[in-house]
Amino acid sequence: MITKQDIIKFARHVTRRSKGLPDRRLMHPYREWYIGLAVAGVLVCAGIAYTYSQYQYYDTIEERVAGDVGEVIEYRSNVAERVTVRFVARSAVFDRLRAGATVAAPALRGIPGQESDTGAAADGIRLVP
Amino acid sequence: MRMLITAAIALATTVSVLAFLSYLIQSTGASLTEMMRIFASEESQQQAHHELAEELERTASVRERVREYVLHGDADTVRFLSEVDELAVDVGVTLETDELAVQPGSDSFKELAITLTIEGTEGAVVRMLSLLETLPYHSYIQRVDFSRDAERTGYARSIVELAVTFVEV
Repeated sequence: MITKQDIIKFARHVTRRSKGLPDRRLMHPYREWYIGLAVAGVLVCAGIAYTYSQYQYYDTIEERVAGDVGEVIEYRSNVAERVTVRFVARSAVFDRLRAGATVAAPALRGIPGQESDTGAAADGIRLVP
Repeated sequence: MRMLITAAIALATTVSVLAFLSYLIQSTGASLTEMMRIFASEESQQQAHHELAEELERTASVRERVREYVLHGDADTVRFLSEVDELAVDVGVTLETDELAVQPGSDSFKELAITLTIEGTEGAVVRMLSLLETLPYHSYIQRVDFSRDAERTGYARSIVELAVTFVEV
């Protein structure tokens, strides 16, 4: 005779079996499809980020790359101008001396760069008209 | 199973292509940076050269004036000696050029050492010395010997070593 306990036991057994057999398949198309989509998405996003950063870097490269000027030859134009002023004054003294002026105190100062202390400089000469 | 292998191969290929393209971008970028640096250097040097050329062009007249104060070649030397002779005649002294020697100087500039003997009245000799000191040339007197003439009162004799900056042409 089937008792109540037997029915309950049978029901429990059936209930357990309804959970089915453990899944032993290697392929899960839906799962793999979504994983594949995620991996592809990550790759695409990484590629976009990388290429965008590269674009930004090379788009503004002119601001970062500075050229080396190298050795620059400096022309000191003020030296030539100073020399001209000095020699114009010296010429003026020479002209006045030649015209007949006499030298009162020939305490002449040397020309810069010359070692002689007898070299004439216009500003070291005092003329007596 | 076959689909999985195919997908794995496709993924590996994609990653490899990405890595290769990244390497390609890096190497091309490195050569681009180097070229940009060379270009910027060339541009900077051209700019500096252009500014220097403009400066030289602007100051050409100043240099031309400075050039007049230095003897260039034998023709200038002859002209200079003629001017000194004329000066002696104007002052009223007797002038003799005893010696001419080119002394070594810097790379381009040398010194022309001229030894002169001046004779005349004391005042004229002193005036001649003053004129030689103030010649409108880049020159200076290296040495002066001055002596009064014992036989003639009021007469003097001077030996002068005059150095003039000289450029060999």
